[in-house]
Amino acid sequence: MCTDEFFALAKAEANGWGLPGLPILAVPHPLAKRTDEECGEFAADLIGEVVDALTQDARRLETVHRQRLVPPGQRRYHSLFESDFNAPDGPDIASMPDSLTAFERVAHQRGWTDGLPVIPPTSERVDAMLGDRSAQSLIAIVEPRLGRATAHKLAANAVMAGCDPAHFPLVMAATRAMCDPVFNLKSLQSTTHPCTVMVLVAGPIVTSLGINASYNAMGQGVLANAAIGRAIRLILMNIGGASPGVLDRSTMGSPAKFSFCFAENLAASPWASWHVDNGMDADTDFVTVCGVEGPHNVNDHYGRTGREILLTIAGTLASPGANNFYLEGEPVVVLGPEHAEVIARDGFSRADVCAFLSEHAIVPAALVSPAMMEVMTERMPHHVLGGNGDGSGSDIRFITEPDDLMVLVAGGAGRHSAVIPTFGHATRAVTVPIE
Amino acid sequence: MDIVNPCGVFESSSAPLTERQPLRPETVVGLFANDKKNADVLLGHVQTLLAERCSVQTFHWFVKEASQPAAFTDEFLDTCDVVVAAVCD
Repeated sequence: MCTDEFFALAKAEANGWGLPGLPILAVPHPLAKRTDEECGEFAADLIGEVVDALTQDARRLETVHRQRLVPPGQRRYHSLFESDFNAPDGPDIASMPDSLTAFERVAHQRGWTDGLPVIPPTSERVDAMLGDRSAQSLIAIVEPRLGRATAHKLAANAVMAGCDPAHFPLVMAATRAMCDPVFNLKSLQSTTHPCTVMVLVAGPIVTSLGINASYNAMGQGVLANAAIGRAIRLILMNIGGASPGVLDRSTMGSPAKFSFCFAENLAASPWASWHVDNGMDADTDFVTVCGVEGPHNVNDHYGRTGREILLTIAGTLASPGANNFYLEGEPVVVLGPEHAEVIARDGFSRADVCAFLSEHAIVPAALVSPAMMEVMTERMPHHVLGGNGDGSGSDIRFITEPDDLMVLVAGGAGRHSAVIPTFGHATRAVTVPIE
Repeated sequence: MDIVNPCGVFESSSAPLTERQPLRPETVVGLFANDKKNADVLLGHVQTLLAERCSVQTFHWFVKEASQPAAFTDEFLDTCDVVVAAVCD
């Protein structure tokens, strides 16, 4: 049983698991707002079908439920992609007129794009992207639709995103990383949270590919950042099946879902890279993926000391609306080089920054609703500070484990940093070497 | 021009539904809820109705942690004859 708004998601997941006839019953959305009595009425309305689903002939159930759809008029929210999204059963190679206009029309109709024009993945371009790699070698299975990410399919998406063949090893490595089970791609793809895959690149490849780590590092303007991040989004959609409103159920979405790829600005950082500080070789290329929201800026033009700047960052990090507030996880802090310089000048190491932010990122009681306070005192009592013993009047620590914070240095001149909340404890950052 | 389909093949093998049996008093019904508000309330009413209508006596509950894959216990999988799931939002 699920709510009618999420029927299409349940149906698509069942199809992905080879169970197109799985009995799925819908109750009106949203259930969370209903009273106990209303829930009882929904159960009474459905109980006959529940008993049927548990007892009837399996083949008959499959026939009935394979064809079942929620009538469109029953839903309040609509997706552009109401039916099965991107024609997974289409031919592997399709012939079409040599017309960019015609191709773009097909790409939009089939949901092959992020909304922007894409480069036609002609056989010649895909072969050039592949190089001497085996086209059919399986790199990963991409959830939630369990799409087979062969080198051939990854290359097609990389072409469409505008990648250069030199970018392709990084795209393949990031795909492997995000399909590691601890990353929990299935949940990241289908959640209502606006999370995406942040691609952090490290090693000599940052220079050789020209990945921007300086001004506007997380924004637009540089091919490598834009195209690699975009290729990952197209792979998530076209191979993983994350069609907006069907399998990608993000309530708001995020501009970061178009493309999110950058590197640390080591030339302007007072510390070694995050990767080296975590035991990795500086001369080896790595890619790290994190399941994150878009970045939130931290403006502090007035902090005179590292401690003062860190207080501003801690205050920005401590957000009661972030998943990390009640689901923990590994939030990311990206220090601008000018902030990092002052912080390091005052004796803070990266580990010291993590410890300081863990101690000072506190959501004041006045900003925590009674309902959230109940959740926090029940599930995360180790985050609850003082108060009146029943949770009331308690401030809430945003982070209790300093090691959960990922602190990076990136960007250009200017007294700005950024905080990047994540999906929460259900995802872990994954790092793999780029081969 | 020849275009490579960027979607292609999905990794799924067809899995037929399990043959069903009548609900009897000795049938063990699993009740599986996600962590979203009221999923358990809805299932609680289903439990009451199955007990009333079908005389089912034994129910096993399993509540999944939010946003995590369900880590079913062997006991749950081994003892339940059928499962009703409520995944809500």
